[in-house]
Amino acid sequence: MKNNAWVCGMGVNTAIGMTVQENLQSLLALQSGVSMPTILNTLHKDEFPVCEIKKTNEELAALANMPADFPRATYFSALAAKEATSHLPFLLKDYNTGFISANTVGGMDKTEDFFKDYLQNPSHGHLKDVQYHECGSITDLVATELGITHHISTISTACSSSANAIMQGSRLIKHGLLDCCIVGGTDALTKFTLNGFNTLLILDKSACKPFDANRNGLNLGEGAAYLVLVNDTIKEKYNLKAIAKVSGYANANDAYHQTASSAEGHGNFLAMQQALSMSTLLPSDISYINAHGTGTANNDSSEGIAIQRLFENTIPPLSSTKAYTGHTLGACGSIEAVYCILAMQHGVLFPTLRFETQIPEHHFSPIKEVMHHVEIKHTMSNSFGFGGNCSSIIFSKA
Amino acid sequence: MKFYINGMGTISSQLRDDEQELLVLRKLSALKNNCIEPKYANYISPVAIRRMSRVVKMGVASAKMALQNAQLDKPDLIILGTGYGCLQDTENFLESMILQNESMLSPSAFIQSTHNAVSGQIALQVKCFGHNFTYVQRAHSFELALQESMCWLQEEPNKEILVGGIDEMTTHSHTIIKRFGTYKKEDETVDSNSKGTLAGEGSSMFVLSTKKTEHTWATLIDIAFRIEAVNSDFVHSFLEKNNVRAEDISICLSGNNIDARYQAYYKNVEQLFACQKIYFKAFCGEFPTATGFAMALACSILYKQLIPIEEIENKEKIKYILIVNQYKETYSSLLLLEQA
Repeated sequence: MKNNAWVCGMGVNTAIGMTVQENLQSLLALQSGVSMPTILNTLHKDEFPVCEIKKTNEELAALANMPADFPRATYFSALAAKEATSHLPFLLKDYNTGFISANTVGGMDKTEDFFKDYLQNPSHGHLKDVQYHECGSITDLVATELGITHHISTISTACSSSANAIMQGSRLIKHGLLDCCIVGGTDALTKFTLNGFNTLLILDKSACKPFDANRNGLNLGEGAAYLVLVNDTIKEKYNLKAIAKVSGYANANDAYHQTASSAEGHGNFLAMQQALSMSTLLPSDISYINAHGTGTANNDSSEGIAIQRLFENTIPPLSSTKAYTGHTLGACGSIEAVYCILAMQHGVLFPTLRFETQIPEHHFSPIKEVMHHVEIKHTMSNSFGFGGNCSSIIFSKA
Repeated sequence: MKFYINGMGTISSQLRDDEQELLVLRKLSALKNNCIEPKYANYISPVAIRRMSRVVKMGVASAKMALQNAQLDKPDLIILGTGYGCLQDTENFLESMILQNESMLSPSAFIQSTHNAVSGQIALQVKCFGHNFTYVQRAHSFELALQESMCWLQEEPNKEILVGGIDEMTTHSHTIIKRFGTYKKEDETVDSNSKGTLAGEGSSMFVLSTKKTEHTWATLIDIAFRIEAVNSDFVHSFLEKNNVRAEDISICLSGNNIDARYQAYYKNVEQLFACQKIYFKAFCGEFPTATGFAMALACSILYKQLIPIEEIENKEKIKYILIVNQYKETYSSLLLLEQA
């Protein structure tokens, strides 16, 4: 059980770019993805800004070279996974390759269409619209597109889903059950999630302000991201230049409330502490934290308090890139993993856009401007979700 | 490494007593089979019950049963699988959203619509701060949860893991899945000559450990699963890997769902075994995590050395049970259990 999980490819699409390169440029140019929805057909389109990918399903289908009637999250997933795997010097099918993807609502966008007709009459509604409702169906469609059959898995643990997919891929590589694994997640904006978060009164009517004393909630976003993880054997055989190593990970449960974090962020603390423990690093070894930082009163307060407890007086530079991408739910863990790795690759740290005032109970502020020429060896990425689900992953420079 | 099943809690179409002993199995005759639900107040506080949807109640109650059965206050980890997730609350929220035109919605259905609502609620109820995962890979959801549990026990042999599979059937899900032709129609015969299967649901939770106790039900030897349909090569290589011969298998619990379209796959594998074959879906119906029910049945048989089915008499020692399953023509899985 000593196999390392090396990152040797990545792909991402969000409201700030359809590729890794485009995302990096937007991050450095302080280009936020927040806008009013023009594609999501909701009654609330003049009320709540989102981070929407401004491409119709037909445009996405054409880009992904797939039929146009799949759920929207399928296209994000396929595009990001293809980008991640595009430069590999080996064929995925030649190894025990897994595809571990995460999402929170599967084909809900299509199910919404189906249900409207179905509620009129149970024999109405096109079955093809509900055929891919299950979360696992999205993963199946993209696994087929990638030619992966050996191991196909979907994890759905709310907003920590794709962090957990990365964790599980690393674990299966460690156990020798997989040689290679494409890990990450996808989610599209849906009326279901927008209305759901609205009932919780945690949607900001302006662009979100993570870690700000005057924050008002989150903006939902959409997109997907994947990492290609390989074991030591593949890395050595093809002399692959890994871009990072997964050096620690942990998942813990806050066991406090179905949707809210405990005030002291107990689960958050446990996840970060146990991830550090696995990596055998000290808190002072972490050069950057990509926080979960949704912009809600509850999350940012609890997360900050847990960070203060673990890192004490040596809190590393941290930011929430959700100010750029919005909260992409099942995709955020892997999108932010890509950003952590970009930070290490380029020696840059990305700020929390729109930050003004420090939270009174915090004794730190997030990064306010892009930091260049930073030596970054280890980064931590946090993802916390409903159901008390708390995850933390540590990536190290390869 | 051996994995011991030290506790179980199941809610299914069949009755179990308080000690989780399976009473005589009743072959399902209805096309739609909901679970026989327990008195939830025996397992969950009245305040909590009021806030829970049916699938959450089923999950939490069966988890509590499994923990009680294993004489454990709480597990170290919770790893669940669910093909469909929390359907009822998803449908409720969706329906209100459509009928009320995206306005005046209440949060409670949305809050419990997430696929990890069951595992999160179990953690909350028993105050388990440990690792908590939910797999949602259709008919491999429970198998993936088992695979991860086995990895954990290899890494940390002192852990006690609550692992389970849960799926609910709602009026809407039944109607829609029936429209896909998955379930038998009213005018069809209830046998393998007609298309379709019997609709079911259930929750099966287990406490998995590396330590054998006096209430250990059975040993989980190994599992295998693949996206392709089951065939004899898949079965042979799995048995070979575990140093078990086909003739060592005492009972084959087959996922044969009496759907005429898929008989060839099952028959092809069933004919490898001379032993007793039991079609477990005749007792629980078809649902993505039905292998959880099969594993609980296997545990009962191995522990009691009795097959709780009236027409089947057992005289020989029951050492190994092999569970064979697939969903339609894909998602096959094999689970091998041994008398502890």
